[in-house]
Amino acid sequence: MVDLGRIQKELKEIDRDKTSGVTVKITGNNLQRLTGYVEGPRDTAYEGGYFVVDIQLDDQYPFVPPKMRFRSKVWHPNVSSANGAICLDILKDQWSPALTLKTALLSLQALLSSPQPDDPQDAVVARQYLTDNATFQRTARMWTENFAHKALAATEDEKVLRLADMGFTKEAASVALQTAHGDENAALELLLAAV
Amino acid sequence: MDEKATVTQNAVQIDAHVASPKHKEEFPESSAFECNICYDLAQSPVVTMCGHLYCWPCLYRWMQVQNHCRVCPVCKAGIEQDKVIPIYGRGGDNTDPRQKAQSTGSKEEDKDGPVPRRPAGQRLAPVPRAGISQQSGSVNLQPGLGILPTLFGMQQAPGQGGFAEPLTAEQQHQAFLSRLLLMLGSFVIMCLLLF
Repeated sequence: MVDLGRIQKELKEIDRDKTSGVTVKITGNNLQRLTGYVEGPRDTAYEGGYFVVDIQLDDQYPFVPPKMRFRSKVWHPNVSSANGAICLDILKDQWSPALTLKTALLSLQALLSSPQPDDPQDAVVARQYLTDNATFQRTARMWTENFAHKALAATEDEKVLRLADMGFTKEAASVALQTAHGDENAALELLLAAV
Repeated sequence: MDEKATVTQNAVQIDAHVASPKHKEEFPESSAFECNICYDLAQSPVVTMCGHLYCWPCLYRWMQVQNHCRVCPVCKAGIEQDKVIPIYGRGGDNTDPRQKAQSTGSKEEDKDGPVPRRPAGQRLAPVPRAGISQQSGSVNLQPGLGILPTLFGMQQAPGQGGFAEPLTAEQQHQAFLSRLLLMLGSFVIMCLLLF
């Protein structure tokens, strides 16, 4: 049984703090599927970016870490360029129930500003980071500009609205979009298959 | 301002032993007494040796989840089940503590599988304050008396009424002195026999 009281308190706390650069929105209807938004840290290739993070909470949360994955494409040694999987110790064995969604998202922000190429998630990116840093910086900046701007996050919301207009609930639409990695047509197929 | 300062100073002096109004000022939301795992007011509160507060069911569950070594969620200091300290506030549950000892924590069992009863507090014997003349007198008195009873194997029963209470520091001190005298005595007898 998931601890709803704690999740609600966490969300309230995130809402209260407007200066942290991270926000969380509810996606599903049961507080177990959430969407996080992380602002790219300043003075890095990710500056100006607005990164969308899929968050899924297990029944055991907060005794097990939240499942987090970048929905926005990110060029970073510790993030898979293919599926957004994140290599971060606190999301694995170093998790502690005293940590929160907010601290986890802030850790993602910190990870963006200090990549750890020795413990990579994406070997190609890590090799480029170590051998050709100038190209790495250029690529990371380009990806940030193309795939992680606020307008794109807004179009995600529009997609949800469009699907909702077709007669699905908003919750179901956003869950389907999340499962389909943002592909509107695939999400529609999923929704129709579920009917 | 000055007036207020002196008032609070007085209050601190008065509350040195009572200390409650000060707490309310410092922690307006009483968040200092929230469990570090469920973020609710701690139920069956326990505190770790490193000073972090949890509900006993929450901390127990966390200890079961961890597979390698058990650490405090907040500070990662080592924790052990028999080294947590329960906190017994006033009120809270209205059951007679004597009855509670017999029916073992049934409330927790209902919720999340069997949670063992909260570890009991460790009750140290009261230690008399050092530097009181009355006490030092009684210690001096003992060696004179002490040698004969101990030689004949008669340990002076603490409390004399046959209670098996743990020894106080003073009694331990006396026992040590009598043992020392016994050793000295037997040494003297051995010397007398040999030479």
